[in-house]
Amino acid sequence: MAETNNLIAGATGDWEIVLGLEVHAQVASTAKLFSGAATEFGAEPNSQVSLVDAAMPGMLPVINWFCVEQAVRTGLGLKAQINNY
Amino acid sequence: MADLTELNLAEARDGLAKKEFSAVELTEAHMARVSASSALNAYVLETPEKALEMAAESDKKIAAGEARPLEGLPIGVKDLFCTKGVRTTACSNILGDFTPPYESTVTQNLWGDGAVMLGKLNNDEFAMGSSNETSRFGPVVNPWKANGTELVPGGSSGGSSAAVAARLGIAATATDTGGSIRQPAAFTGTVGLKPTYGRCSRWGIVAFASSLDQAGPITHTVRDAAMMLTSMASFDKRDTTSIERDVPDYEAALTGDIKGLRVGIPQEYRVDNMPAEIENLWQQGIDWLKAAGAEIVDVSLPHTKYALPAYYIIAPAEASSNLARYDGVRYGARQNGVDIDDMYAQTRAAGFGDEVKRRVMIGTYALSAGYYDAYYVKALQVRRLIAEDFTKAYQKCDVLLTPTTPSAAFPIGKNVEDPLEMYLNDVFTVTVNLAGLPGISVPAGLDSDGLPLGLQLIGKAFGEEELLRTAGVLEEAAGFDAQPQDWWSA
Amino acid sequence: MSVDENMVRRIANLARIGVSDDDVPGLAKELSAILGFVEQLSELDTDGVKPLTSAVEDKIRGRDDVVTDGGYAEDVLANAPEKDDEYFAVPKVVE
Repeated sequence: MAETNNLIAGATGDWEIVLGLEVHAQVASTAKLFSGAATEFGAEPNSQVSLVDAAMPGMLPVINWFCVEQAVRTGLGLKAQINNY
Repeated sequence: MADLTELNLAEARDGLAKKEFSAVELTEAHMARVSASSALNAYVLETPEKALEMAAESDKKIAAGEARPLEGLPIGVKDLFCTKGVRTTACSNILGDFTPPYESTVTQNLWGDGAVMLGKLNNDEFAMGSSNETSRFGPVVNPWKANGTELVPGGSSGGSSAAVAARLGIAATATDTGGSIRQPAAFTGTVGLKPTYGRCSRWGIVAFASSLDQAGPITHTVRDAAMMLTSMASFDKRDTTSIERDVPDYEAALTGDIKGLRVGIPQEYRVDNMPAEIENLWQQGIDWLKAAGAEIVDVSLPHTKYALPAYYIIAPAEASSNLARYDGVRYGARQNGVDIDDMYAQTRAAGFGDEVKRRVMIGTYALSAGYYDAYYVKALQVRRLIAEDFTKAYQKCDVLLTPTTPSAAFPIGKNVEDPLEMYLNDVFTVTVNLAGLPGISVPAGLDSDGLPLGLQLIGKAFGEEELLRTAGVLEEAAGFDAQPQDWWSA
Repeated sequence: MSVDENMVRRIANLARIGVSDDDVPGLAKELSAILGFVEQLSELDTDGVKPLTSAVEDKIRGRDDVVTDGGYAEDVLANAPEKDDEYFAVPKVVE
C-alpha cells in the first residue's frame, strides 16, 4: 500500500495545510440570557429590549437556566471540562 | 390643632385612625415645613402635587375603613430609589434629568401600604460618602449645630437623616452599603435600621456595591422603624439575592422583654484614641441592658481592623462594574465626542464627581489583570474571616452592642480634602455589611457640645425581631428626647 | 503600592473616564494613598480560605426559558439623550 502524507510540494519546500475553524454559535433560546425579553430575529428596533437589557439604573440580571444547560450540553459534546463555578 | 409635624409614625397612624386630623392636613403640615427649610438642602426635589394626590387617596381609604398599614403617612425618599415618573438622579450629574418609567420594589411596597411621597432626598453621589458633601446638589446641613458651625448630617443618606431630624417627613427611606443609614442616624439623633442582606429587594435602587447594598428606614423611634421595615421588606423574584422568607409583623416583636438575652461586647471595637465620651456612652449602654435583665458577654471579633481595607477594595470593585452603564448612550447627560470612545470618556469625566471617579478607578485597578488575586480575591477571603468572626461570636451571644460612630457630627468641609480620614467614619459599621447582618443605630445621648451620639446593635442574620426588641429597650432606657433648635426655617 | 502616572492613565482608560494631564498627578497621589491603606490585608494569612462573594450563600435563582419581558421600546427610549425614531443615536462606532 502506498504511503500517503499531508505534504504539498511548494517552491521553497514542503508545506502542510492546517485548517482552523472559528465558530461563533449562539444559544438557541426563546428568551435572553439575563432577561425575559425575546430573542426572535427580525423584530422592530429595541422592541425586544427589556429595562435590564437597557441597563437602566437599579436593574438586576436573572439568569436563564436553559442557556446554562445548552452551554453545558455543548461543552459535553466537545469533550470539554465543565467547571462547577 | 397641635403641630402635626411633632408626631412620629405610630402617633400619626393613631391620630388618623381616630379622625383627629386628615391625611391631607398631615401632609400639608409637612409640606409647609419642607418649603420653609431649604437652608438644610435635605430635599433635592419636592413633589407637592403628587403628595396631595396620594394624601387625598388615603383620606378616601380611611373613610371607607380600608386603611392600609402606612395609610396617609408622609415620607421622604432617598434619590437613589427609582420613582416612576419622578426624576431620579442618585445626586449625580451623569443622570441628568433621568425619569424612570418604573418604580423600585421598596417604594412600590410603601405606596402600596398607603404612604405618601413628599419628595426625593439628597445623598452623597451614588451613595459614596459619609457626609453628604459629594452630591451634585450641594451638601446637606445637619439641623443640629454646635458653636454656630454648620455640621454634616452624615452620609450617604444625609438628606434622609436631616429630614427626619428636622421633621420634614415623619420617616425616610435610605440605603446602607458601609454604614450609610446608621452613621447619619447617629449624627442626627434618629433611629437608622439596616436589615439583613436580602431582606429588602434591591430592584430599582441605583446600585453601588451589589453584595453590600441594602435599603432601610430612618425614623424617630424604634417602633416607627419596625413599621417601616414591615412594609419595605418583601421577596422579589427580580432580585436573585432577595431571600424568600415571610415578613413578620416587626412591631409585634417590641415586647420590651430582654431578660436572659446575651449581649456581646466586642473588645476590638475599643479603638485607639477613642473619645472618652463615646467609651462612656458605650458603658452606659451596657449598664442599661444589664439593668433590663440582659447578660453581658465579652466577645472577640479578631479581624475587625481589616474590615475597612477589605471594604475599600470590595465596594469600589463592585462599583466600577455597576457604574459602567453610565455612558451617555441610553439615558442621562451626554457629552459629545468625536467617536464613541471619546463620548464615553468625556461623558464620564464630566458626569462623575471626584469621589466617584476615585472609587471607580480603585475598583478598576483591583479587578484588572495582574492585580485581581492580590486585591479583590484577597479582600473576599478576608471577608469570609470577618463573617466567621460573627458566627463564632454568636455562639456565645445573641446581639452585639457597639458605638455607631467614632465621633459626633463634624463641620462641613473638614474632611473633604482627605478621603482616608473620611473613610474612618465607617469603622464601626462596615463589618456588618461585609457579613450581611442587620444593624440598628439608636440615639443614646449627647456629647459635651450637645450633639447626638448613637449606639449600635448588631443582630444575627434575619434576627430583626430580636434586634428591634433590644433596640426598643435601649431606646426606653436612654430616654433620648433632645431635638435640634430650629435655626433654619425661613 | 504606589501608582505612577502611567498606571493612572491606564486605569482611566480601562474605566473609560477621561483625565486631563493636570488631573493625573493628583490622582496618582490619591490612589496611591488609598492603595497604601488597603495594603494592610497582606498581613493576614488567608491560605485555604474560600473567598466570600456574598452574604447570601443560597443556590442562585434563575428563570425558565419563556418570554416575559420587552415590547416597550418607547419606555426604553424615553430618556435617550439623542434618538432617531426607535434607535439610540451615538457618534460613529467603527472607522
